[in-house]
Amino acid sequence: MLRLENLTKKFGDFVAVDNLTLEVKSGEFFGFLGPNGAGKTTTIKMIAGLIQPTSGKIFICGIDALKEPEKAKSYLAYVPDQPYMYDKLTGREFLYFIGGLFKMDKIEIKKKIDFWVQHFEIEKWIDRRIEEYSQGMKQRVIIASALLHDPKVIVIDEPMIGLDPRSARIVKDTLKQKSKEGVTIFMSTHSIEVAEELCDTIGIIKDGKLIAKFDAEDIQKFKQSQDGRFESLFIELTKSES
Amino acid sequence: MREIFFILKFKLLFIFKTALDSKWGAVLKELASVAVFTGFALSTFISSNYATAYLLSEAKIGLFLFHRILSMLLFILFVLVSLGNMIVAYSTLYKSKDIEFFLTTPIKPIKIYTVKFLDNFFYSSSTMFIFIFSILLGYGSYLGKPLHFYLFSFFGVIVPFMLMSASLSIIILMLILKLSKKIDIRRLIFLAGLTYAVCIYLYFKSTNPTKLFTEVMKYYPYIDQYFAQLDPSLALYLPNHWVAEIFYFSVRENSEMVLKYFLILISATIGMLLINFSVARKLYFETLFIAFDLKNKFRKKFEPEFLKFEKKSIFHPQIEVLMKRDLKMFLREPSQWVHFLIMVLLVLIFIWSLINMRLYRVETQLLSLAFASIFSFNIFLIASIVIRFVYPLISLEGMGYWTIRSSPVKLTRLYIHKFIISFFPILIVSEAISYFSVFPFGKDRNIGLLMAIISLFIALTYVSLGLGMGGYFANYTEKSPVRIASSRGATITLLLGLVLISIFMGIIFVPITFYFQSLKFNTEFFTSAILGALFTSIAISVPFNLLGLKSMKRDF
Repeated sequence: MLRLENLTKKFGDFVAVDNLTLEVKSGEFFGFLGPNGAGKTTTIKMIAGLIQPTSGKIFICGIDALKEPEKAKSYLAYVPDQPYMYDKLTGREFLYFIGGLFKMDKIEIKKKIDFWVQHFEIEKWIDRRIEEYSQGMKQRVIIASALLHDPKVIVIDEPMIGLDPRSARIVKDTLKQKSKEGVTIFMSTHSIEVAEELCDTIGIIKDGKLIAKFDAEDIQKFKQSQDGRFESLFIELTKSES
Repeated sequence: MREIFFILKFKLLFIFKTALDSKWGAVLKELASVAVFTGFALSTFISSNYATAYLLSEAKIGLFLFHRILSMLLFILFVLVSLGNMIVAYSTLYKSKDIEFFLTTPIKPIKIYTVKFLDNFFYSSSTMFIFIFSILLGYGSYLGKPLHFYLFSFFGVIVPFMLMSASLSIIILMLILKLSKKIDIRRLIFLAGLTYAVCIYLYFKSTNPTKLFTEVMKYYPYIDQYFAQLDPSLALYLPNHWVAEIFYFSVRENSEMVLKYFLILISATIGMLLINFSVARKLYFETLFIAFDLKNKFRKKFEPEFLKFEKKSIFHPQIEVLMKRDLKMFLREPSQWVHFLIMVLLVLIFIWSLINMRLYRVETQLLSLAFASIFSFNIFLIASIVIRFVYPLISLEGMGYWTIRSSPVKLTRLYIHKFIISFFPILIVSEAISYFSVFPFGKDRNIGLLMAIISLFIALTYVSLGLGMGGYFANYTEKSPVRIASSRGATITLLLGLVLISIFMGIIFVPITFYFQSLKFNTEFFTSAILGALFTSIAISVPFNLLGLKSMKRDF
């Protein structure tokens, strides 16, 4: 469902993502972990079409995202780490706006908005302007907007930032449910607990390279051998060589 | 005082660090802007020198009349600086990001005000300084003035004159905000606009340029003498008059009178600054919170039914939501619709004066010159509207641009949408002014047709320039359209736009001159002018639109 082939991004001399190859299957919940500056957000931005790769390929549902970007993006949903939105619009207008960008039918948009607004408990705020929202409120509206067009692949960068425990639980359950329904989820996070709880597979990136990939069984095994804590493993793998 | 210098030090450090960025792209941008600014200053210098020489040696209007024209231009400058400062001041003094941060520190509001006032004054007047200094050089060099004349004229006369204008505008702004607690702010803005318009009307009515010209010319050839009796009493109390008098008596080498008017000007400036800071001491802190609350005041207004996202539309769904979003955001941002109304008002005033102008009875040799002046002003007006409303369009996508970049929208479609929403309104304005520009010349059909066709190319050229440059210098982090439209990139775009005025002028000048001289329609000349404009338009539009589109595809 999501395949990255030899993906590389250079900013001048600096290699942010170095020859990254990986595949996330349909219905798989992939956790993308790494220390600060490892290349997680750059990778995600390349998948979402915000950054052009220096080389390599991206396939979304088998479609070459660099050759047919619009077609590929119609199956994709992206949730950024910073909830920047159009402050002068209301939450509902923002959702209609996103629905229109994905060429959805008005009746369908309305139905979906009603459902997700209720699901994420934002009824009270949805008709207020976004400039009045808190970060958590914005995050909930953005996640709702990502789910509006029934994406096949969800790329999500740090989804829990700014969310209160109740909202975080709703988001976690929703994502897990979507994964069970066959949606591919590619999630970048700093939270080892979140990754452990949600992900079927975890990849660790360091200096732009994928240095480890574990499936559920691996994670369980390592957990047992390393004091039962995945955190120790992560710290060990990502520690500075100097 | 230490705190003010401390903040200013870091502001200057930031400016220098940005300017001295060692990346190649940044260096190239710097070099390009230096080249454009230098070219602009040079052409202003040449024009000013030529205009002074023409008026004094060719047209022989005499020193007195020349300085009265200067006085009128200074009056317009005073109004422009005042309006410009008021508009930018609302963003700088009330809406800029660092204000909220400063409020959390133990710095007194009056100190924050001082820093922001200086920031605002130099930010919104920097290009004007280059422009005025170049004019001064052109004027002074024709009259053979020494170096100290320029230093005195600029720092001792022009800067205080502009400071007075800026102070006045910010006092008005603070009063409008203060009164908005009791009176609807839209009424206050309308009232302020009306007051400005009435002042301009009264000024030109009392100075009556035509009457002054006729009266002075009665004394020909002794027209260099001082005709103080012809000045209306109102003019004597205006700063533009004092500045014009300083220049007049400098040329006549009457130091006593120069000193007299200089002292009047400086005292008035100091007085205005004192009033400015005492008003700020009382009102700035209070009006800050009024301004913060203003954004919550106008909810659910200006919301026509067709703008609702829920309504079905005949357009492609992506185009529909992009249009509705842009319109909603435009109507919900007061600085956008207020400036739009001001621009509409200016266009209407201009059209009204064109309708009332009668130039076909003027001597034929002056007709082409008059036509060229009106034509240049038309383009200048279009260029200003483009800078204010078209240039910021791409930057205004803002940090929310990720929504479009990550959705299945062809960026070409988005660009075309931006082009269309800019092009058609600009075309309408351009055609409207061109239609009325023919009125002073007896509604001549031939000129009318030429103007209508050329206006189409002008609209195409300027919209392409605005979008292309706006994309190239796009700043997605800046939320204020006013600040985007007064950024360095916008200034460079305006300067390029001014260069284009001379190109379009050159294109129409020959056929128009021939036409007015022989009053004969020459198809060859008219066709060549149209082809020239078409070629220029394509040569500018294609690369700039490609630049704009390419800029939108940059990494985000």
